[in-house]
Amino acid sequence: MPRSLTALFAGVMVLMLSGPAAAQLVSEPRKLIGINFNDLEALAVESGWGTERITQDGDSVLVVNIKGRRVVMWPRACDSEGRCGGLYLFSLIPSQASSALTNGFNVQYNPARATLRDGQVVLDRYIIGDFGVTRGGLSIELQVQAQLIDDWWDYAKAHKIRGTAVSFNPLLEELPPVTAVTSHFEDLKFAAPLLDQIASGNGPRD
Amino acid sequence: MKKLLLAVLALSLFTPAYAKSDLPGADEVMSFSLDELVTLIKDAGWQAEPFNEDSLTGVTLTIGTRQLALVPTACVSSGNCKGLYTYALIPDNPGAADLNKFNLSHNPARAITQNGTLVLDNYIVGDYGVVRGSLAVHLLVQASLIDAWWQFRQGDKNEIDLSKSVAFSPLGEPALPLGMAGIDIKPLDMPETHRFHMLQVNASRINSLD
Repeated sequence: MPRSLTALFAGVMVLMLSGPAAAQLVSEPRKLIGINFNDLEALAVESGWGTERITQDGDSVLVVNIKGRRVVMWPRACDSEGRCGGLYLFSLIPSQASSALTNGFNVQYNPARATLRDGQVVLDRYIIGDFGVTRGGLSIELQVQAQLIDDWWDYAKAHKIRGTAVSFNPLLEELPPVTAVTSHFEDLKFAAPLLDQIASGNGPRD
Repeated sequence: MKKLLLAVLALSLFTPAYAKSDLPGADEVMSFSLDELVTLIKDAGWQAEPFNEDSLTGVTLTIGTRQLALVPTACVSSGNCKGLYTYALIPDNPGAADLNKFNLSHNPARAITQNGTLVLDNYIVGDYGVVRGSLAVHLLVQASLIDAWWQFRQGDKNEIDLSKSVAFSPLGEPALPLGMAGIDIKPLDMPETHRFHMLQVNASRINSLD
């Protein structure tokens, strides 16, 4: 098998292992929950993860701290009662990169979705939950997303990619998808300290 | 960033429309088995062709004219699998910049290239089951992304209207003959004929799900 394919499927194997191997941190893992802040926050708290809800201009995200890594949960497609059909997870990585490198990471670390936005590495994933999600499944998704941050830095080390300061180039109006759900998606203009806060903890381990 | 948000919006519009179908969406799929997958696919009005060859099992899903391979993984016993790897092969070989651009603008796409072939794939975590309706929406989104890819490649500045895709009617093109298929979790290791077939049906044609 070609080496690149081997790498791809090694990545799949990593995920296959990461699922069952991810700690079952929540009770009633098969219980269905809707995507809403209360259920998401309860799951994170029960898992022992730090949480912080950030609200700006009427829209909110929930930042979860998993072993020092920060993953942002952003409910999407929400109705007027706060019930949402999707959950967008993303992490900001203060790292140098290129499109070739993010693509290489995606090949090697399935199911990673690393993109390069205005020079900023973003690891993200969209969870479809129109009909709900299981608590255990969502817990695994979050743990995998946090693990992928460490995977990025392993990959970065192998490719001699350098980190950047946590206070990355603050192209505030262009930065990741923390926006209103309204039709025209006016970006929330997070202040620089808030962006730093979201990215903090996602740098290389000492 | 705007493109990403538009893509998220498209997805947001897309899913509730799908939810209006007759699919019993709130039921759970407790593990991924061929029977579960085939039943769900047929309930949704799509075409399924299971295959089992050389100890490899999976299902080819045809939605309209687009094809995906579904391969259960992380199996703890026969028919009791905790993960589902879905992928489509696309006859294209974009550069890294275009891959990044597409992934940025078409969340939740995961486009990568393998040996000169584009792969649109995703992995569904199902250790504790998944919700049937959400899985169906996921599959429809994955199929729609094939059209989105071609629209992206053709440089159409108009965003693809995913909301139209929910009203598709299968065009009746023959499903992939899977009796001899050797689809593994290694997409490009498919037998040449089947690989060619999937590449052929996923070749450039816009809005084939309509």
